[in-house]
Amino acid sequence: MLLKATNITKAFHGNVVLHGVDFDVRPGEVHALIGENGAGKSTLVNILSGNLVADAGEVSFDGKRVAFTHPLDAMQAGISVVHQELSLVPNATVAENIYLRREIRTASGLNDWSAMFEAASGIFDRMGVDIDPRALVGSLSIGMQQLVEVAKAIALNARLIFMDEPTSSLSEKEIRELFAVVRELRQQGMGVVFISHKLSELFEISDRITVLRDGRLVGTRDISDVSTDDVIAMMVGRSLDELYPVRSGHRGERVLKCTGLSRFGAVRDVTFEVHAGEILGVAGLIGSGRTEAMRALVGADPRLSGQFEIDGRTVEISSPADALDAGIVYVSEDRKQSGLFLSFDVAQNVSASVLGAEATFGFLGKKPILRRALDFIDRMDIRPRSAASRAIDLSGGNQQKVLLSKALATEPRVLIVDEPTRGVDIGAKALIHRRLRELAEAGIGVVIVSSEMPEVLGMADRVIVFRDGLVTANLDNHDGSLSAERVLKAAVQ
Amino acid sequence: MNADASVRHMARAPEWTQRIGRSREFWLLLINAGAIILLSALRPDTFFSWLNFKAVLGLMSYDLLLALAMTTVLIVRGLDLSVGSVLALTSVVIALLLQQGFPVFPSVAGGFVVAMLCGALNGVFVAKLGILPFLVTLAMLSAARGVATVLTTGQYISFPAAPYWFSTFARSEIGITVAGGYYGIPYLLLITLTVTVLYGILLSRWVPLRQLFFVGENPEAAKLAGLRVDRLIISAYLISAAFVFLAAVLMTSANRIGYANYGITAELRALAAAVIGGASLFGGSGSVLGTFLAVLLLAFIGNGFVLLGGDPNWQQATFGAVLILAVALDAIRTRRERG
Amino acid sequence: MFKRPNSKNVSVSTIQYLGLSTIILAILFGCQIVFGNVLTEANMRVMAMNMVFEGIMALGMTYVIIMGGIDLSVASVFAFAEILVAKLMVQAGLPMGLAIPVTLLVCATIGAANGAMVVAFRVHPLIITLGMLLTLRGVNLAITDGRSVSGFSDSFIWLGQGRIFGVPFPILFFVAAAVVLGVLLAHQRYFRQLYFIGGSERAARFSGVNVERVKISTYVLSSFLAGCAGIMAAAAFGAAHWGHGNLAELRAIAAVAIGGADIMGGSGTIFGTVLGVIFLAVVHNAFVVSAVNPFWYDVVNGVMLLLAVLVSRLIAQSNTKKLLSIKQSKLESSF
Repeated sequence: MLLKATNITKAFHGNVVLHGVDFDVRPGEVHALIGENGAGKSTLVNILSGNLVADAGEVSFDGKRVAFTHPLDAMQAGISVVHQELSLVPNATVAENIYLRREIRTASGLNDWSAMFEAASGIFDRMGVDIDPRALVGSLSIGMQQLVEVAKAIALNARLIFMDEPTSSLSEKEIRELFAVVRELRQQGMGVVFISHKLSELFEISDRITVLRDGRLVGTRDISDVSTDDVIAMMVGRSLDELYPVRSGHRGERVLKCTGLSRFGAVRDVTFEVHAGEILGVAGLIGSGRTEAMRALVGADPRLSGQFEIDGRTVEISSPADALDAGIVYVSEDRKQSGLFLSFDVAQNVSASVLGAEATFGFLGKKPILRRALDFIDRMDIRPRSAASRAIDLSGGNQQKVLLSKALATEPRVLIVDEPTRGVDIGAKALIHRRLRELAEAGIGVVIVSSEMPEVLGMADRVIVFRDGLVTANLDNHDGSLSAERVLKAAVQ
Repeated sequence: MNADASVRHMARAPEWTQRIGRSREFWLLLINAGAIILLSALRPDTFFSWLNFKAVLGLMSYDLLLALAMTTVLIVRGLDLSVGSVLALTSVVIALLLQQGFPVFPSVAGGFVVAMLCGALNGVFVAKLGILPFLVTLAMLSAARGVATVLTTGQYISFPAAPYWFSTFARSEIGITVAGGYYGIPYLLLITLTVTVLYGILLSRWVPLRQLFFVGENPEAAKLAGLRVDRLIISAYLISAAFVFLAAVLMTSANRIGYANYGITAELRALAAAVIGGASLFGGSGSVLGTFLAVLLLAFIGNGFVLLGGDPNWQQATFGAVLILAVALDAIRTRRERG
Repeated sequence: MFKRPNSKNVSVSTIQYLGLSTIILAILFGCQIVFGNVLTEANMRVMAMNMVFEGIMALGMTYVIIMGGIDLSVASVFAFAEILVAKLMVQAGLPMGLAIPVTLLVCATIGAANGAMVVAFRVHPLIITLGMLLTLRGVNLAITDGRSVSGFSDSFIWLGQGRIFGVPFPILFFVAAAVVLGVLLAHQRYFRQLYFIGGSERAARFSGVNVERVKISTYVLSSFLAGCAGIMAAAAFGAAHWGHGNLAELRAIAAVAIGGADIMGGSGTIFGTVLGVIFLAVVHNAFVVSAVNPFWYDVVNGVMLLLAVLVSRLIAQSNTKKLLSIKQSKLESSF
């Protein structure tokens, strides 16, 4: 065994994300690691590469016990990670990025560029690719930059490389090229752990596959022993352990119609409808264009095309402000970066979109704002029950409730919520689900974008699925009988 | 719990002491009070005279207006290095128009147009083209000062033919007799303080100005919340230019000349005052009261140097030292808050 | 196939350098043809001396900006060095060989203070160095009472006015410093780290770069160079005065930005900065020889600064678009 990890356990703030996971990699194999979003893949990779320290468990590399506390430790031992966000500097050459802090130097102490170029060329030859070590990294495509990261790992004498969703932003040609490199590395006895959502790719490239679900190991299989359907079944399991609010099943008038929504380099020709009384679920893997489509819909990002109708009337939307005027509100997936005003208090956050609503001559009344805040604190059960606490001091669940309150304060016709319960405790999750169902019953069009399969299946009456910027399925779930397999198939194949 | 009961509950929220402790204005007020007490104890006769107060407050008027300009753009996560040179340009334009024999109103309006144009250029380059405010306003600093110098070839521009009232109004005083004592309040001071108070009220209560804070605190969230972010950023630069314009009118009137070298390095003092007053380069914070108290504190420190017979030249250095001290205290405080 | 970037794909900086060089030469020869007396030894000397001190500060500023910082305090350090070295020699009677090292040491300490505060307070360096600028300028004014200090020995004066082969010493210093700093920035591993810190501080830390140490030492270098410039300026002007170098920090920043460095950090070269400095000197000189109102100089500077930034902004935008168009073609082919 090249790497053997046993019983790896990790919790964040009491929330266990890895339950005693075993994982191993043989020399000269490509090992696929797969699981839904939040299954614990990145946590596992972070632990094995020294970015996080496990709470329990043992790791041995090359037969020796190791305990990495810093990524540098792991790199020195021979484990490297090729991240999704590349850690290269665009204004330095390929060779320099590969040899940062291990520069080859001349007798005068200056960098010996020609030696570095030559050494880098040697690595690229080993990999079988043609990249100019003299080129600035910024002038390379993402695919080539990824190969530079691989070269960097090889230069560090890495024997095990983790690749985190390496194909997500590559063209078809580049994927072929990357696979050729991966096969070459396997040939040379290195271990490669390949993390991806695209089953077809995994079946093409890997020797074994390990599936994680909810922080637990489901199993490790030889790729020749399993089919795509087997893997999907392993990924979703059978447990729908959470209770979701009861659906009434009636379908009202059409509230929102979105036709032919396209966005440059992200989504193409998306069409869907939202009816009163029903919740539309938007599924798909991260990066499949779900969020990009919704942001383009409300005018937060530019789009190429798209027509929208609210209650049968055509509306023009070129900015989120227009969308709000038309009655569409979008709640961002990232509450810290683009949702909340973190150092402002709850009252200000809740009223952010409706500051002018109760103003007299444009002057704010403090009382209406406070009253609205207290009203939502009651409705959404925000704790602490104080309108004056700062958003940054609240827990994730309460932050999410404040974010929803901010959107609901605008009294929308259509509510689009992106990841309504990401990083939220169970109590808050149940409450948010209840409120969303109530809104739908009250005749508001509700759209839930979510990476969590149980949430999509438990909440949505209809599900549209995104893959690579396209809607690949429009599935009915009025009786709650839609299977996770059907959604996942549309999302990955 | 009904809403009114909780409103009352809010009023005695347990964290109110913490919130005051966190309030920049509170500490600045304390320090200002300390400075007043110290100075009046050391120099009871000279410090506590109306003449001295008038001098302290009069000197800080221009700095206050420019610091308010800076505070406004800092709130939207901007920066305006051009306040000093736009001040000079506006003053030069007004003086030249007056010199050419134009009546007061068109001349001042001409200055207003120029100031607004500079503000609009700053705002559009920052908001629409996405260039760093630092670079945009640095270019404006250079260009506006350059145009002012070109227009005047570096000479003082006097306007002897202008109406008497314009060349005196900033200096003339309104007399008030209180308890037998006569107090003359210069128009310069009266106008500045009135504008400051009005702006303070507007900035804390008027919706369009409140929205500036949201834009600065989190531009992306503000956009998604339906705020017209670009428009608000441009407005902030226009408001900044309006304060600069007012300072230019007052300065031109008080000094009876327009001059291309007005306000050199004023942008740095304005920035220092705004930051001491609680504004941040990362946007979303800043208050009129805080900025006012910061300017006042710096004025008292300067006054102290004069009254205590110290070398008045040292007061310049205290500006920087107070700024560094304020930043250091902030760093210590946030570190302690984070635990 | 992964293709090597083809030769048509000229790098951004090459375009900028070529453009800037062309403009510089056009102005020089244009003025020579129209007004004459531009390409004379005397005029070249005047032209160079006009900009040389800002130029030296711009070299240090390049390092700081590449690292993602900024140093507004250089102009006040410059004047402070003038005053300190003058006072040490004229009033304290120290020999030149002692006064200069002491002055440089003090300047370096000021830089260390800047760097340490930037690292410790985690505030934007703009604010820290602004505080230093205001403090030091006040100190300069106070310790001189606003008067100039003069009465230097001839050997000290040589540092500002002496010539080797007809070239004034400060110019030689600038050239030597530019070559050394340029080589170090381009080829020495310690200074290469600046690009990595400026490009992504997190990634640099991840790769084991000691970010704090590099930051502090870069501010030290910036102040040290400002100190060197100040000492030579005192000698060149024959006097030290607190008002010298006013706004020099902004001109130095402008030179760096015109030279193509990204003010957010991660890119820039000494060569670019030198071109930026030469550009500012040539433009200034053009106003002098053309007898056009020389005050237009500031206007042109401002406009050029904006243009330079706009150009790099546009190039960056087209790069993002290129990346997206890969996905777009994927989307289009999926029908």
